[in-house]
This record gives sequence, structure tokens and C-alpha cells, in this order.
Amino acid sequence: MTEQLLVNLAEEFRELSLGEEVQVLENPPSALEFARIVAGNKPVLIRGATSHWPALTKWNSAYLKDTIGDHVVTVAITPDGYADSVADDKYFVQPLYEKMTFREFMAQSIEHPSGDPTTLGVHYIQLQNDSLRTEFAGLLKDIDVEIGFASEALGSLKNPLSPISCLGGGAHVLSPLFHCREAS
Amino acid sequence: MSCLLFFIAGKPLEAVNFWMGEDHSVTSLHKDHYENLYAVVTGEKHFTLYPPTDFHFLYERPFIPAEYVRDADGSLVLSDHPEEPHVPWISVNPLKPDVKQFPQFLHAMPLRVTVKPGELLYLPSLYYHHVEQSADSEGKCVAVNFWFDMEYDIKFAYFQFIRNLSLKERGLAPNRPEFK
Repeated sequence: MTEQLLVNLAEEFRELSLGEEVQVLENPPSALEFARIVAGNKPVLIRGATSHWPALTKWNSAYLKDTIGDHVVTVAITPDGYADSVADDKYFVQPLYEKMTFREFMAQSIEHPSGDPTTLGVHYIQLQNDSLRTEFAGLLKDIDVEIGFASEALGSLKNPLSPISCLGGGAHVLSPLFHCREAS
Repeated sequence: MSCLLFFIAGKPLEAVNFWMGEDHSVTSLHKDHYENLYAVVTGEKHFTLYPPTDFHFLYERPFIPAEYVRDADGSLVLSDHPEEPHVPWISVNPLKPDVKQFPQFLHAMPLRVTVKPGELLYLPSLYYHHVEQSADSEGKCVAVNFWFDMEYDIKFAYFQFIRNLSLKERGLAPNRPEFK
């Protein structure tokens, strides 16, 4: 009985609102339009909001190494590419986090894809601690750190929450998603 | 506590994260308590999304926490921590679902979307997402995402209710510490 009701719930949301495909907007929405999308809790693909970023043409490997090559960054390393994932049907496994220069990261991952056994694992930069403004601040000039419609729709209404403080446990952070609320 | 300090300082601080890797990296199915805007700079990201109303079909369960460490010769090995609180996570891998073990997964209906350079995905709070990536001609995929705190409104309360109901149906007590 309960299971059938949960099936009905999912079907009803799909039929009334969600549909079967992600809606595409060819131009950025106004803040009001975006606030309505957020209130509806529906994903949307937005074109034209970031297409002017210099990053889109500048961020090739040579430029990235020239700009931040000597910076120390945090890299997630796994044997199979699955960071923060279930393993052996009973473990929730976090990656090994290692600090290295960005140049070393490039040498061990992008320039030697993980099919190569000498790389000792799949390397991924995925630290969700406001990393662009901390470890990659040298690249900030190539993007807009404010998405206008989103900041207007969401940002000014919020108590700013610092993911840094929520994720501050370093290697032992379990799942930011489940602990941030208590921290805030 | 430090969140509170930021609030007092009045800084408009959401997170802006930088992602970079080659095409072997996969992000397993999970949700975030943020409104997420995800911008691809180079390469492509392939999202598989499930709305929060699909919670029951994804089989959240508690898992033993573990991490990869390097052994003496540098190989990556799993190190587990069975004494620590278990971590609630999604059981199903949507790339190879075990429908014998997780039969209700057949009711889940994914939305799939590929995000290309210059495009921005609004990924709503509480949506479960699984992410794969394709590399550009240099072998890399780079993305930037913006996190905004979600509203803990009636939608969140309804979601908690559905989650508790689902866990109870499967004999997983929602009020156990690992399900806080």
C-alpha cells in the first residue's frame, strides 16, 4: 500500500509538472522567471548565460599551467574514478585526497589518462569548498563570479552559508549534504 | 558556528567550485542541500537526474565509511571504519542497476541532460544526480558550479516525510543517528 502511494506520488509530479525532458531556455531568464523555476523545483538548461566568459576560449592546458601551474591544489584519487561512492555493496568510500601542484596534477591525469598504470589512480579536482575562490583564485578573472539573475533571485534573500565551514573537516568530511544543515 | 560568523560579517558567500578531470571520473548518485548552477567550460558533463519524489526507488541505505589510502608500494587500497557512524547513501548505480536486488528502481524515471561549453544547468536542490563527463581534444573536462543555500520550506518538510515513510517501509528506522 505504502509503496503504491509512493509510485503514485512520483507519477503525479511527472504528469502535472516535471515532464520527461529537461526544459531548455535559449536565453537567460529574468530573476523573476528564475525564482519561479526554483519554486517549481524543476531543472532547466540555460543557454547564453555564460557563453561570454573568457574562460571558454582561454582555458586550454597550456594557459592553465602558465596561470596556476605552481599553485598547490587538492586532488581526489580513486582506483576507478568513483569518488564518494558505494563499493562492495557495503562501503561508502571517499577518495584519497592529495595536495600537489596544478602542474603535477596535469602530468598525472590529463597528460597521462588513467589507462596508464603509472598514474596510480584516477585524479579528479572536485573539492567543494568554494575551491575556485581559494585554490583557483588565479582563474577568477576569466569568469563571472556572479550569475546576475540567480544572485537576484536567491542570493540576496539568503543567510549566506559558508560551505567552507561545513566542509572544513578535510579528509574526514563524510557527506556535506547530510551535515551542513546542523552546522548552519 | 563559523557559518554564523560569516552571517554576522555579512559576506554574500555562496560557494563557487572548480572541477577538472578526464573522462574516467564519475560522480555517484546523490543529492545536495543547495540550489546548484553548473557551468561547463570545456568538455561535456552528462547528468542523470531523479526528482526527490523518486526517493523510494533509489534505495538509500546506511554504509560503512571507508576511504582509499596508499599501501607501502603506492597502490590504492580501501581502509574501512566500521566503528564510525554509518553513512546514508544511494544503493543503485543507474549505469548498471541491480533490479533483482532493487526492484522498485524500475519506477524511477531519469531526466538526462548533457551540458556543453557555454551552457548552464540549474540543478534544483534535493534532486539526485549522477554525473559522467567527456573530455575535450586535450583530454580534459572543466566546469564551475555555484551553490546557493536552499530554502528549508514546506518542500523540504514534505521530502523529509517521504524519506521517513520510505525508510520505515524498508525497516530502516529514520530516527537512528545515521539517518539524522
